[in-house]
Amino acid sequence: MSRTASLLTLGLFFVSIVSGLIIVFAYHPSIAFGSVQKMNFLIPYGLFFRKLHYFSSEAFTIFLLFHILLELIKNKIRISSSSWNYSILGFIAVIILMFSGFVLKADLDASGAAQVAFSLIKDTPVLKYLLPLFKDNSVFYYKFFIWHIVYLPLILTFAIYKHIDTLKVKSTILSIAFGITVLSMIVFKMPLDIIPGEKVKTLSSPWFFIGAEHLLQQAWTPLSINLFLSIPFFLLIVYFYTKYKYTTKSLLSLWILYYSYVSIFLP
Amino acid sequence: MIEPTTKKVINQRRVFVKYLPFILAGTLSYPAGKFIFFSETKDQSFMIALNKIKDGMTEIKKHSIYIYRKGSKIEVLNAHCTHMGCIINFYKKKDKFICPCHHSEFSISGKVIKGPAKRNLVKIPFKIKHETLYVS
Repeated sequence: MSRTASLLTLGLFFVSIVSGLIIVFAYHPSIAFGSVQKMNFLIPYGLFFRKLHYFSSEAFTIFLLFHILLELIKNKIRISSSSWNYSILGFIAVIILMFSGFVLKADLDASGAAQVAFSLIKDTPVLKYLLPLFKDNSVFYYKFFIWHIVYLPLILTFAIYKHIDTLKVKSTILSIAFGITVLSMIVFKMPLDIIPGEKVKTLSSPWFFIGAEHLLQQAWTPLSINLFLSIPFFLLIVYFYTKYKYTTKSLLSLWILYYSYVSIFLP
Repeated sequence: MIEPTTKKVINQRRVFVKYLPFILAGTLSYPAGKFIFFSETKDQSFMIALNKIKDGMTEIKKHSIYIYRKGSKIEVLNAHCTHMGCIINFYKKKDKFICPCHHSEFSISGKVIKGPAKRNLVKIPFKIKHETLYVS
């Protein structure tokens, strides 16, 4: 089951990459929202490819989380320490990729999420020096764009290669991954884009970031939020090296339970 | 047969060539860092004719500011929430600002009414000359 999940994760990664390579031709960071809307309504098959990219990336993340969960349940590590470390690097890249992808749609939700991310970086010691890597004062979405289409996919591809020693995918797996994406496109709705400048009561953020937004609402400081969000990655690194695997797994489960509670039940 | 001194020189060269990429990377890291972390500051100053500012609250979306006018009294407020930087909304009926991200509330003068924001909205300095408002 875990092997199937990992193969499908790789298949979905390819669908996401290919659809991303197509939609990048229509995206301009200097007129970000306009180019996304042009893609939706003017360019032939624009909405189809945008949805394909959106749903394959979402499915990729969900399958990846499922794959990690299954591997942890199995209680048996079959890879080397460097492969393990690269996979965690890849996991971090996926989360940032998903966040930057959310921001690049450039609607009201996206600009709010970007502002929150800037503040989280700016108000955290040490991390604040990295702000110029993400914030461009001339074109708001430019550096998110660069990270999303160049650095992060490179890091992720490298991490995947180091994790499984190959980048080959069987055509059957690719077909299934494509099928899953198209099925998601039919069954689920892609969130609507809100015109920048419109007045809305509440802004939404990526689903994996909702918990952090709720904690910010509870007046957690940026430093504490960043430390809290880094806990699962830290525990995953520790898991490989420690002999207290059960304790590490219990702590990780507690974190997941608490974060789920915060995401779903807190206002 | 190679003489020992020649062999020593060849070895030194090999060591030098081996570490050359690291030396180059070290030398280039400073200018590369300066290049990547360069951040341009954008001039946000602008002006607006006073007769275009009506009594009450006016939002200048392009510059993310709110101008409050009551007769001759004028205040210019930064529209970014002091908590996480989101753009706040003004609700005329409630006479207050509410942040759509984490729901902090501010009074018409920019004072915090409800958290999580802890600081009041930033007041932006301005000048009035020849019936024109200059915001810096």
